Amino acid sequence: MKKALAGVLAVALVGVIAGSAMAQVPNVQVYFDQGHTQAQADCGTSGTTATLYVVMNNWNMNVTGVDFSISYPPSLVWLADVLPDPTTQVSIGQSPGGIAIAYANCCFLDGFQNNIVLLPFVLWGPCDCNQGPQPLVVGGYTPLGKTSPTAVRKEDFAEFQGVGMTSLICAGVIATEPSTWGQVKALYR
Amino acid sequence: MLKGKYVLLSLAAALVCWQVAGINNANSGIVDPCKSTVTANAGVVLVCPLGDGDALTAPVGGGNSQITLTVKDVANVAIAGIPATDMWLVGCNDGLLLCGGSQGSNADAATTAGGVATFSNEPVAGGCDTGLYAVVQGVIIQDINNCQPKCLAIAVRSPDYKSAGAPGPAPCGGDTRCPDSKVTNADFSWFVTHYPTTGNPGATYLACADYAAPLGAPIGLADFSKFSVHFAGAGHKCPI
Repeated sequence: MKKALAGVLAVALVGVIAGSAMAQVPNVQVYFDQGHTQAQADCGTSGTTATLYVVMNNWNMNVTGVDFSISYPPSLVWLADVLPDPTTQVSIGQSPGGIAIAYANCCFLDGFQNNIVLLPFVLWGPCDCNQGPQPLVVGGYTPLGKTSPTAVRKEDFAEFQGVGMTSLICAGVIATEPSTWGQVKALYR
Repeated sequence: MLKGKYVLLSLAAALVCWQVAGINNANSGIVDPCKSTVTANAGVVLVCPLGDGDALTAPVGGGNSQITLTVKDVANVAIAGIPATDMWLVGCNDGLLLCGGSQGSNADAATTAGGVATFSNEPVAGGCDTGLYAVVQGVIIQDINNCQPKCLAIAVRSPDYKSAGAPGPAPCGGDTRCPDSKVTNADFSWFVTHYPTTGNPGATYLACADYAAPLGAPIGLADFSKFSVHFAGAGHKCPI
């Protein structure tokens, strides 16, 4: 029993370390709140609408363009993409297949802060947390063959690649199946 | 007899003076486009009707495409002091719309004692062209080897490629070029047709929409970002 507990703690620790390291790299993530603190949420009421918040984290450069895609789970129906400031920002494409956003000279992003770059407007569909977590995955701008988000630095228009993060609906519910510690260890032999 | 010698000497002296004066007379001050030269490294620059494009000294992808012009007359003598306003650049294929006419692409300064002038700044212009001619006092500088117009391999591309209509030129379709000295939704709509999207994954590459490194297909985020610098918000336009 103690071994099992130690194993679970070890796995949890690895997860925390991995999460912390990932949080330090340039990434793009979807949040469920304007303060961009909630990357996990429970199911919303079916038939109601919601706004998501796509945030660029840790890019540490002045950003004049960014592109990415978002893979929505079946419980979220994408309706529209809204730019935070359409008077100084322009976009090409749509977030489900790939969206590119660029900024006016006056109003590039200060990538030393974490900025909201897109506000997808979605509709909650049928959603059941008993079926386990549903990932909301940020990927690359697929029409250009990208697998990860990229951003362009203002000063020289050089392009940099970041990490597409995964947010979760029903994160607290994790599907399990009975096993033994020996079987778990066997996975790593 | 003595008088005849004086006459002869006077004639000889006069001949020498005439010859010396003749050399000076050959320095007509009129530009000979076939004896003048113009050189530059190849490159690509973005130009904007507002004048905030890429300097010729800093083309896309690095390097230096500053243009050096040496102006000579028919006697192959350098012409000094030609005003900067008498020297300008135009597109080899008439593809540029200069902001304010020739003043949109004047030389840096008047020609030096050696007849040399440089162009460090990109033309203030809309449109797109594959090369540049240097013009001095209305005459295109020619290739010294064959006396044909010398097209410098400096590709010039502007986000102002299309016209939004009156009071500018009439709008034009497809990839036909009709700049109007301002970057508008007409230009953005045109640019998007060359940007791959899920709805148009095979968007055709057009060099005129390729503004940033790496150059070449496909048009990408860096190109879009550079375009938007001149478009998003208040689109840039010729201030004149």
